[in-house]
Amino acid sequence: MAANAWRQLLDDRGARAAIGVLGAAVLAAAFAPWIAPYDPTLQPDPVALRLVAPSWQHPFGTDPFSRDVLSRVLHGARVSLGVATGAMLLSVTLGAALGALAAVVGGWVDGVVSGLVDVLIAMPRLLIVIALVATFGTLSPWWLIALIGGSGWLTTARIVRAEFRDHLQREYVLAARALGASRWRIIWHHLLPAVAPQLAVAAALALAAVIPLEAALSFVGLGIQPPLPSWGNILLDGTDYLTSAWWLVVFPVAAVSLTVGSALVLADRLRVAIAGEEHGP
Amino acid sequence: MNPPLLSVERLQIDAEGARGAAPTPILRGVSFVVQPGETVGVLGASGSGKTSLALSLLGLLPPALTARGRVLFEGHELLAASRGARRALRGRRLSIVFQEPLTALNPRMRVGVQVAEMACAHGERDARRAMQGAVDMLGRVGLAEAEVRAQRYPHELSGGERQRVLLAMALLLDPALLIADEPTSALDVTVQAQVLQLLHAQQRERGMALLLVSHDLGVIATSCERTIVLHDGLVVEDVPTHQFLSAPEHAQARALVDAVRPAVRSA
Repeated sequence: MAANAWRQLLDDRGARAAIGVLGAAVLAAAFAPWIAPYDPTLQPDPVALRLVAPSWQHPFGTDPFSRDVLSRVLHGARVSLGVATGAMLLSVTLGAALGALAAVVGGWVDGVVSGLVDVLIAMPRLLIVIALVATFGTLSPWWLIALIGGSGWLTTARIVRAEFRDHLQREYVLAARALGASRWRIIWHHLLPAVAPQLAVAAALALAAVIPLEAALSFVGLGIQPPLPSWGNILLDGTDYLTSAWWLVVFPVAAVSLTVGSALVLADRLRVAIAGEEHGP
Repeated sequence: MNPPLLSVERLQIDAEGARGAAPTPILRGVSFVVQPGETVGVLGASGSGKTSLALSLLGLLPPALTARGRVLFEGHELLAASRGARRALRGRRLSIVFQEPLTALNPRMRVGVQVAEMACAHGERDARRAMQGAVDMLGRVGLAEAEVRAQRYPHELSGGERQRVLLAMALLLDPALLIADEPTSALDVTVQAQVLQLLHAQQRERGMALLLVSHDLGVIATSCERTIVLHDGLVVEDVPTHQFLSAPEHAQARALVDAVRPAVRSA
């Protein structure tokens, strides 16, 4: 059954392109030290090589400190995608756990979790994270993952809670209980596999949400701190030269847009593939 | 006389009233016993509380329903037992087959795995041995090519085959009492007969007691030693089936028998 959804997904040109772009970004991140032509923090000649336009030596040009922008974007992928992946995994896991807890335990636990979701979802996430970062001061990437991921579980929790409640009412769950399956067994063997497709969609959407969040934080100087490159702080280095050095803006923005766009396309096509499957037998 | 396998004493089930209204009674003090190996039919119209009775024995009533009274099964007070104790009994000593085999099976799980899950839920650690046991059991309940069919999903099987899968799950751990809640209502008549035969063959082989819950007098008349008639939340008849068919005492029971008398006579 799941195989059908995969086949439908891979038959879709948009989905293939999205997977290709994300795969390329992951490979670039993984092999950045070997692909990148220069050391991303090296400042070879801040005078002669300052803000050099794209050329064969520096395909993406150089920044105000004479660093190679291509190398910085590639290494930035490691940091940005690493933080984004960590935050996505954290938010999806947290959302799944809390949504499942609310649905299975019910009662006041459900009230607390659902209430919390309703209240927090009304607050702009970026402002919450900025407020927290500003309170704690500058943060290590690990803390950044914790904050971004910890603020992103709301929609996943909602989806998982709703799906779990739906499945808990189905007769097969009653039948499994009637034959002695424990709560944990039902959660792990029946309910989680049932929501796995929705979790995949939620994960793709979460990725699309956290990449720009990290970029925005780094762009306002609260995220990844220089000289460590991230897509957001490369952009920050370029803000003073917007009119004269377009390459400082175009390349990191393109990196963010391509990955976010791909994640969104993937989420959309995944949803279609799953829906197609549910209409089946 | 040996102590009964199951003894239900003054079982009451109430449905929670809406917003402070008085609770609605579903069962109003039902008592009966089931001896080891015995086949007892529970007959009642739709809404007479048959399914609630079955679910209350398993401790699986929906939250809006509450049960009072005493249910003794193999020395355990089921209504007072802890959740863990009841769970350990379910499926192992006390099993159930539901009415609609398509919805009672997980649509996303291969049927062999679902049967094997039963063993795993009750402590089997070796997944391969559980799967082997599941395939054996599927063969014993008459699923042709069990090895191959075990790899199928529920929607790939016929209604009768699905009911066999449910039966394999229920019988896997050799329970002392099997509750069958309308086990044949979702099946067409020829398959009904096959499933009932299978049920009885398995029952004889294992010396297991069977509580057959149905609205279908024909099913109960042909297969149960004793018949209990539920009406309006009470047991109105509890007699050997032949006696019930020839001389039903309660008006409701009489109405039931009269309604199908030609069919039963010819059966």
